[in-house]
Amino acid sequence: MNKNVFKPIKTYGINKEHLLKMYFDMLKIRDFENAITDVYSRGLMNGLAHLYIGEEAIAVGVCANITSKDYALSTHRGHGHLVAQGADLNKMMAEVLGRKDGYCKGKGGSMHIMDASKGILGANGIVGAGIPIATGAAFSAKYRGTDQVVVSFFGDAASNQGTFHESINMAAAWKLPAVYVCENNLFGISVDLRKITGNPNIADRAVGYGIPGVSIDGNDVLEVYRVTKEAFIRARKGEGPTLIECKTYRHKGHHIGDPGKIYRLKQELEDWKKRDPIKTFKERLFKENIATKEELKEIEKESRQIVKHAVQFAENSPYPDPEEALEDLFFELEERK
Amino acid sequence: MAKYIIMPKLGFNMKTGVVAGWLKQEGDSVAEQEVILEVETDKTVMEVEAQASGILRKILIPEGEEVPVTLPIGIIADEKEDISQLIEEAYQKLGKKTPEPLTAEKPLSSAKEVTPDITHPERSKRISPRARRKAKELGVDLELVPAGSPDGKIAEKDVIAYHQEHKTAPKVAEGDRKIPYTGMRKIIGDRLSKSKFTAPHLYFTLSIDMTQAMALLKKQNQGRDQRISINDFLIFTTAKVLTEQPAINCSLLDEAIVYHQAVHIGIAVALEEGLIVPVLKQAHQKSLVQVARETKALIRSARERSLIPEDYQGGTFTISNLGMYGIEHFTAIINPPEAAILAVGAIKKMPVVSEEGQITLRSIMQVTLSVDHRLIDGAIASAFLRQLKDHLEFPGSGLF
Amino acid sequence: MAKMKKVTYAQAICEAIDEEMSRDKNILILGEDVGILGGNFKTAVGLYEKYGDFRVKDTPISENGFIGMSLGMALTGLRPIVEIMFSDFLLLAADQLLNQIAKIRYMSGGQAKVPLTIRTTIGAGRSSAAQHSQSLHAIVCHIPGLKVVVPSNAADAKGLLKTAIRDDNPVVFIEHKMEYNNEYEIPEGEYTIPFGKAKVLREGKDITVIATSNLALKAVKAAEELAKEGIDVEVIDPRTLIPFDRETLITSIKKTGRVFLADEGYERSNIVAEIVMDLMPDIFYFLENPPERLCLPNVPLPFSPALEFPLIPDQEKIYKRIKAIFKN
Repeated sequence: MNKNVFKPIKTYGINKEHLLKMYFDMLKIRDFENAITDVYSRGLMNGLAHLYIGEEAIAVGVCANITSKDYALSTHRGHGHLVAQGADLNKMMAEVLGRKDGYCKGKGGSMHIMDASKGILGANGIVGAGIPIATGAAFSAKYRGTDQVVVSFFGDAASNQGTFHESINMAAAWKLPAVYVCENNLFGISVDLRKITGNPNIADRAVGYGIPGVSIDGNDVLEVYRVTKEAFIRARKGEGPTLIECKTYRHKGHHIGDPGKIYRLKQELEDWKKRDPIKTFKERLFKENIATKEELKEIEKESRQIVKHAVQFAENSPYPDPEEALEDLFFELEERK
Repeated sequence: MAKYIIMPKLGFNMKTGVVAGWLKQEGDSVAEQEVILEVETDKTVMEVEAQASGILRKILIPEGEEVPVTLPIGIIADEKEDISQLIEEAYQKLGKKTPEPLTAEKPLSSAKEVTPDITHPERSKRISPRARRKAKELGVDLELVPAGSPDGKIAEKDVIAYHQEHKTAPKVAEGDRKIPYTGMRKIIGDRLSKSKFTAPHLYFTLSIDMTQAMALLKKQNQGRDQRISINDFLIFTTAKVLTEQPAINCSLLDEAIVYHQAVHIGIAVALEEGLIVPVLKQAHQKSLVQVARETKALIRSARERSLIPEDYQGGTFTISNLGMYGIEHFTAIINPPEAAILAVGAIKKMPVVSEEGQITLRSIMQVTLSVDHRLIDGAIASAFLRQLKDHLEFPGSGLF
Repeated sequence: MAKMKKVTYAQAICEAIDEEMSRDKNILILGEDVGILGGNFKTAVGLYEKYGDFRVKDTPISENGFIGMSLGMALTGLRPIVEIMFSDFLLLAADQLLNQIAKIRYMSGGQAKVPLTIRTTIGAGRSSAAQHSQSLHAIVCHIPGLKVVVPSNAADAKGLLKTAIRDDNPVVFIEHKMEYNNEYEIPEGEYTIPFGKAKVLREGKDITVIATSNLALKAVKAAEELAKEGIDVEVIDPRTLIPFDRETLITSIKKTGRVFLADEGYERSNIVAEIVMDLMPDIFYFLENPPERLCLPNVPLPFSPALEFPLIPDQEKIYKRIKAIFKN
């Protein structure tokens, strides 16, 4: 995919407010991930950070369809999905810095952030582990007779885990209201998908399960939105799951500290960077007279403010007490054993 | 608005980084997110982007230098801004060279604290924790408790049984004199206790007619400087008999029974502070006169407290004589690691019925042999005593 | 005295599930062959007919998948019961069980609640060989975040299973496959048994025997034989391994001064080793003898009965071992 093939925005029938919200959400993700780089470099953040930079269109395009009653499960590269679902950036940043006011009181960290109140069932540190959990949530929705939908985000590498096969098979067999979104950025850490998979078009696997599968440009937020919307309608109608493969590329390495260069072709990275989802969307909004440069600048400023505030909030939040390490194992304050 | 460029922490193990190269010079303008330098870690070379827009006013750390993470390496500011304060602070921080630790290290352990409530010296016996606990509770000295099972283990019930036996401790009343049980008395006392409670003692008593021996000695002592006593004669004779009864002249050492070639007789001497047993070495090779002379010297040394360890170690058999106190009969405690001890009583004139049915007065002396039944049994003990009796009742010629 | 009735171990379990499912419509059971077949060990007989396809769900052979799904269900309002035919198969779902289910509440800082019951079987004796005969409950005890229940008989099984289903935390419920067809007396009507309460099956003063699952019953029989030799054995069934009833065990060992433990897991890293170590600070100064254990030797289970039965802990072996302790 080397060329930008965008349809005119008008053809999508989305109003300005929603379009600008999408732009805003993508900016928030980008700014948040840059802020992560900053706090990490300053030695404030421990562990690993997996940046979503370059893939923002997928999170935003998919999550624009998620309502407050739906669920989503994400990956170790989960900040984007969390932000796009409206998670509280303050609590996210505090969690990532291991502070008391973080979403998980410092117990989960970047890879395990959850906001149960918003149906954000969380990021996950094991590749492919979120897929069966999402499928179970979809089963639960159908069991309880609601029209909730569950989105399962995972990467190209996860599609080779057994959980992918087992979960989608059951979802297909029982027509569960699930939307499986594969973020194909072509690499599992340093291993090129094309070298370790017989058919690198993940969407083709859908045929094997008897469900629709579609492969799209993951850097076109409107395309992502459109295809996901169709999948949601299917799911809510009880027609079963859909597999959506979004082709994209991460601008940075696998995690902070990985240059991401020795295993990738320089030219390939350059080409993808030219198709930066935020940059291209901004151009479209401006060129097609949806928004003015000033309006867009305002949004950019607001995004930066929110993220800056989140960093301040997090830095001011205290560390949890060591005694807390032994709490929250079981529900109902019980003895450790 | 001035801002430091810092050496970024790019990996959770990264402690320092090297400035691989500045891509901008002092005075150049930089934009946010623009790559302005490259940093080398032990794994790779990373690009570093500016976190602010402005002029690169100062490069604090040149190419090739290594710096700890999070420390300032450059300053971005407006063109005319005064950054002298920032520079000074930066150099101070760099002078320190060690970034502050992030969180206070508070070790958290979910392990339970184990506080033992009894301290135990090294022991060779097998004593169960339950037994130790009971012993502490009852105030029983575990050294004194015998094992209740053949495998030598001391169990709680053994402690309880021992305690029952020795429960009545006399109370200290007004006017009682109390001295600590320590020193030589304690050492000797503990040794005797150990002997008594470890070795199963077996006792054999025999009456010996010393009339003939006494007459002989009386005659010999006339005109001698070195007087020879009954005890000397006894020691001399016993040594000779022991060479013919090796089964008595043995010791239990390191799980083995050692049958000694030589006979070293211990002679029990009572001192105020306790019993001491100097040893007459090579007793079997000495003449009666020698025995008398050396025994006298040993006893004098003992009384003068001038014995050296060599003098009271290495005995193979002990003789304890309370005859001078008029004691007719007593049983002695074996002197470990020896196998037997002979307790000698006073010589008394007793009526004796002879073979022919006549009553005569004879000088009779009772001796009691204590043997360690682990090493010596009845038949051997009896044979020894019989032979001793023969030799004492019918002293041979050629003694002098 | 409650009225008693006679049922098999499998029926008792089926009753517990049935009673709970009729009480709360968010409870469902899923697993291989639980539907039409009524469970491979007859633990779900009649449920499919009563509750329908959705609530009694036959799954494909995808342990990692459907155990992961049960977590997703538990997070979104349901209370699933998952049946895993053999504890050996838990290993197929190791990630979902040990990395996800056990940890998600903790990792989320207490946000997530996981009301999930996973039932599985342990035990050898059917010539099922190495991969179908293991007792792997020590593994699920080792990972923090799971409760582990090991009932020895039908009456306990029913009461404890109801408690497990009502617990808002993940519970691994361990059934002994050799017991399913054995008949036991259980109380009539509904009843629950709390976690963390061991049961003294037989009082005695010479030695405490702690035995898990059906070994507790075998220990009682061994104790009756030992009584004839003048050895008075106290037998305790821990019933739940997490949470664990320390107090009952400590009281007993302080009384008898000796402890013998029996469990059908492999000897190395057996759960009884953990039990002894956990109790040791409280019992050391009361011990007459060192603790001893009877477990499966450290080899996979062989197929031939001539090889298998000599390895499995049983009444005879418990009897001999305890007799040897008292040979003095």
